[in-house]
Amino acid sequence: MQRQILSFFKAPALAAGAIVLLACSASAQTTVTLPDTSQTTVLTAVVNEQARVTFPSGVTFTVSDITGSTIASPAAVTISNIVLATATKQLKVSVQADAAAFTAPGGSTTWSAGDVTWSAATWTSASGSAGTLSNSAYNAVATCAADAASCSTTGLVFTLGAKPTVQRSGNHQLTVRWKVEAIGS
Amino acid sequence: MHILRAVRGSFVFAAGAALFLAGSAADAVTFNASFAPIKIAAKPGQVLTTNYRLALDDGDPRTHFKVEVQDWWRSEDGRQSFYAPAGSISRSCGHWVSANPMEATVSGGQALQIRLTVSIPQDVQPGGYWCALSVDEMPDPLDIAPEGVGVRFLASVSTGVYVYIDPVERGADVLDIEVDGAQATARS
Repeated sequence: MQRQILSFFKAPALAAGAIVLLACSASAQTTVTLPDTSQTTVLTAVVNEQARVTFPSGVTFTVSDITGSTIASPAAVTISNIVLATATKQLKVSVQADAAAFTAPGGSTTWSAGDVTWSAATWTSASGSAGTLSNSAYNAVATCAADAASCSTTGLVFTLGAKPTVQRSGNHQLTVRWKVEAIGS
Repeated sequence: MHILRAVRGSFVFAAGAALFLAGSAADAVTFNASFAPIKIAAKPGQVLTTNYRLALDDGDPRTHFKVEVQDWWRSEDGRQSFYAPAGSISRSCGHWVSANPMEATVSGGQALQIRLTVSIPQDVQPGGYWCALSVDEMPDPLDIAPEGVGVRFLASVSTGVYVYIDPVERGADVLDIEVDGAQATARS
């Protein structure tokens, strides 16, 4: 109990002391140099490996002769804002079909995924690869050059092979998935 | 639960204005993605958590995603990548990693937080294990399929998950070296 009473009286005593100090400082202002003026704050930005990728939404084959190949309009692929962990890592673009074959009217004969091929297009800052579509593996379409900030093409041509056994007109559709992977280390 | 280390991966996935209609460049699919691998050092019996973030840009259409943990490997020449159900390879970590949610629809400007829980078995042998977290864009059943013969494209992003159980011994067996001009290829 005695200790509490003493503490109670300390407070006004400290306040009085502070007032005295303030009064003194007001009458004799002086600049005090801090012992350490080199205090710094480090700002850190954590940058993830990243890229901006634009794929075509689809291609259409206007098939006027099922006994010959049909070429689609050139498709464009752009990869930009490439940021990777090292100068030797690269981005690889590949495709895989979701199914083994197109879906056709009434389940009629249609093209298989392997009937779709693509050319080794001319790429900017990438090496293109010709290939054949598969539903079991992602096959490479292009690999961006090491340390490239972007890579692109506007001339990726998909070709649908001949299929003389097709007997139904209408919609023959296949879903294909694009994949972008970082390769190397 | 022992949350010993959380490795945060994030990527932003922004779909284009329209996803499936064939033809014009305006219908292209665009996304921003992070390709940073998820690396975890762990001990037998530990349970670790990490998060993966996915966000769409403002103005992007609602997009449905499926999240899957798979095994993956590449062909010898590196031209092919294979993705298969977890447990397909001997050094798979696929069965240890669970994702929540497994499916989600994300609106433009919204984000999807994927929580990954890595449960290390008690009897696991030391060494390196790997698998992949794949986030696949799913077709919208309300979309009208384009007329004619065509291919419609969807996008997929996969990030490698690497789990290291100490002590990890790094090494490789070089089986063959082929020299072609100024280029040498080692097969391991």
